[in-house]
Amino acid sequence: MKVNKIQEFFLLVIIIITSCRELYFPDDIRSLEQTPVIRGIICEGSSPAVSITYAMGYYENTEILVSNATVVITDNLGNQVELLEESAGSYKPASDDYIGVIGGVYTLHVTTHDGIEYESDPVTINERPVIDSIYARLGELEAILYNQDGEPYTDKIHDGFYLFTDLSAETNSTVYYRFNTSVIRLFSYLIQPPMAQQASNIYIWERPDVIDDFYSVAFITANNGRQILPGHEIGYLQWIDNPPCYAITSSTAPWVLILKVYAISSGVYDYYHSIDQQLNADNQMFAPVPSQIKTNIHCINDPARTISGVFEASSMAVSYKAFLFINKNILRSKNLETFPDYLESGSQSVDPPDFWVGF
Amino acid sequence: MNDYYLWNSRASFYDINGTLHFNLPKNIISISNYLCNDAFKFASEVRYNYGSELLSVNWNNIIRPNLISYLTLSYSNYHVIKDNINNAFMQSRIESGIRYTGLKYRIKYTGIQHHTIDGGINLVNYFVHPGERTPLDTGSLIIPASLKNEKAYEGAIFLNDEYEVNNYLIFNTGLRISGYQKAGSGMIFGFEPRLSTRIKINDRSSVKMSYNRDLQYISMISLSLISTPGDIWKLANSNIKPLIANQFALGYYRNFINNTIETSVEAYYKSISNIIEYKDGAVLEMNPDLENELLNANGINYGIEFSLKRNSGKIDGWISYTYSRSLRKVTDHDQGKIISNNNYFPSSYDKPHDFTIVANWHANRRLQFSANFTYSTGIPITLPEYKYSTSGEIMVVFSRRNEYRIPDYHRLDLTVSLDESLRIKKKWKGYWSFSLLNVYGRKNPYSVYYKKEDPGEYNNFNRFNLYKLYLIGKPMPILNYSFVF
Repeated sequence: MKVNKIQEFFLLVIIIITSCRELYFPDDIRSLEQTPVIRGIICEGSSPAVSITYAMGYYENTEILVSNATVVITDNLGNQVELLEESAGSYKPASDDYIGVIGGVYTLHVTTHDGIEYESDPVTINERPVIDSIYARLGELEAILYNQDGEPYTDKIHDGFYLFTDLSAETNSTVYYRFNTSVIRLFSYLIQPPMAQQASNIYIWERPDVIDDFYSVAFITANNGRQILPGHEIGYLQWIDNPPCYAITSSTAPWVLILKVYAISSGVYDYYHSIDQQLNADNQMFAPVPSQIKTNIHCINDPARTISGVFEASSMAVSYKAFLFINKNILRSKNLETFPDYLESGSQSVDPPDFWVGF
Repeated sequence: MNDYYLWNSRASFYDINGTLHFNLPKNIISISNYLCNDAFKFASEVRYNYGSELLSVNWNNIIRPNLISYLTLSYSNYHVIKDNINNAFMQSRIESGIRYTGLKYRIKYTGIQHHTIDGGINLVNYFVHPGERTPLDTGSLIIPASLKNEKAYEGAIFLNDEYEVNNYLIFNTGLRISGYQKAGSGMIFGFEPRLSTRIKINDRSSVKMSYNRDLQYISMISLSLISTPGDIWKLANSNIKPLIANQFALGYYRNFINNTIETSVEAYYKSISNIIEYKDGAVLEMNPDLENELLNANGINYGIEFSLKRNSGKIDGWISYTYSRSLRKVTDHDQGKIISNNNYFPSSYDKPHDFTIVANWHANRRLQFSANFTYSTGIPITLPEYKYSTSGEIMVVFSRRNEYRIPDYHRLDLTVSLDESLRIKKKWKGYWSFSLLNVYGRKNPYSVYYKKEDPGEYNNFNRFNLYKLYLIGKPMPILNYSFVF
């Protein structure tokens, strides 16, 4: 019997209706080998730090911290520094004398207590990035949330602005970047009698909130001369309509954005980019090519051994910008020379703190 | 189904085909064309639109009673548009395609006793448009990018002789010599000999043996476990050598009980060189440095197939069982290019056991009952074995390539069919059938994939969860009415 195309179509419709998906717990997954996860970093002007764990089995929920490892960093000038175990699985040099310098080439060596040796590829601290600008564009945000059965559904549309940055580099080679964007919400209002004995300004600030993904990376391809990376998205600033209940009279609520851009090497870029790929490869109906996370660390005793993690050498540029919502469609901005690197949330009255931003 | 992704997905298609035949004295000309287009949208994430245009012109010319020529001109154009629509500012369109233009001229000569000689030429022009990415609308920040188009030419001459030594022995020998040139690369030559023989032992049994060597100058690189519109085509060049396959096959065929029962055993072994594999975590889409992500692999395919078929009687049908393997091995030892410790691993097509039984009971001249049972080993898959947390995200570490398998596939279908009328002269002849597919409701997985979710009791508090997608996961009745007029 020849099945014609119309019959095929109806068959397809029936198949779609009767198809489904369900959680799958394969009972034959083997997690027998200890898989080290080594994460090390050395930044320009900072001491190195390394953490070592063993990955969990797929059905387990406890990471094993790796103690008693020998951790050494060597550089292209013949220097070497040993990192000591500061807490379980966490290693740092005994002093802050050894710091990363631009142009330095660093290699991480790790020997675990069972004698297995691991080594990173040599990584270079490149020139600091140049942040040309930070800007915002009006846009709605659609979010997918999950109900109690784990099924996704669309959330209400948020109003707000997407944030972008432009970078440039004077170079003839490919340049790789990693981004870290956080925002701090500032809030001020005037309190008056009878709520207070006398009229007074109150200043409140919140802890920094990271608004981009830790694996946010980008690169500029070499093309003879000045390279420009335009429009790299660094996050979303959401319009919040309802002021806090203690805002009795006029108030302002600017946001301060802190953008840190790290110049990294291609191997480190590959690591973060593969994380991005893995996290965004989920939920594809046609099982995607497995997105194994890349690493620039390998096992010397057994090159085929599975390892995760990265050894990063980087330099960093930072830029600050303040934004103020006039309404949900209008956003004013102001470049800032500086801002505290880290703040705990707090408040004070009468006079604003030194870092306060007025519009 | 409470499935956001499924309910927000769309699919549509159309197919148009037609053929014109011209029967002229000593000449037959036919022109065929086929147009198709399919589109589907997967929730608010991705939209595919892909289609093909095929055209072929055939001219068969009887020059002399023992000399016939066959000319075929063919053209095919396959194009894919993929729209990434999940992010308003990063919406992009990727267009890619492959075009094939061919000419084949073949002459068949039967003027020498016991010989049928076949020879000719074949010219092919390949054009691959690997991808062009553009912003989908003016608000998109996507930077336009285009990968370099690839062109190549293949020319071949071939000659084949079928020599019927006597009623019991036939030899078939042939050679195809091809030359291939990709723009910017050197010429590649290929020799493709073939040899086969059929030995008729008696009226009931025969043996066939064959050897083929084939070259393939274009390879498909799949972005997923199964073929999808987004698959990438890559032409051979100085770095990517043409795929070479050498296949040996041996078959024994025997009939029983006045040829009402046919049995056969066929075995084959195929070695393949220059298969394209890819690195772990390779980026394949819109990658200007794609070759850097690809690995050269060798492969072996082998198997044996047993078949038993009954053609007549109240009960007819057939049983077949195949044991086959399809293995790959990457030979590169450089860091980051080692796959499965450089050992053989199963390819995505490796299904060792495949068993089918079809039985039809003709209760009377109008009523028929059928049963169809199939079983096959689950296809290989790479699964996550480990996980670790970093900056608030849970990452997974996958197993070696294709180290696991999805659950085996098996299914029983039953059908009852009834002819409306047996009268030959009736203008309208109808045919009813009622089928129950997947009688025992097995949830045969079609694909296994992982998904990021909020941890909860339902998913064992995992951030990443494996899901299996199955089609027809319950018994499905189908009533069908067909007619001819």
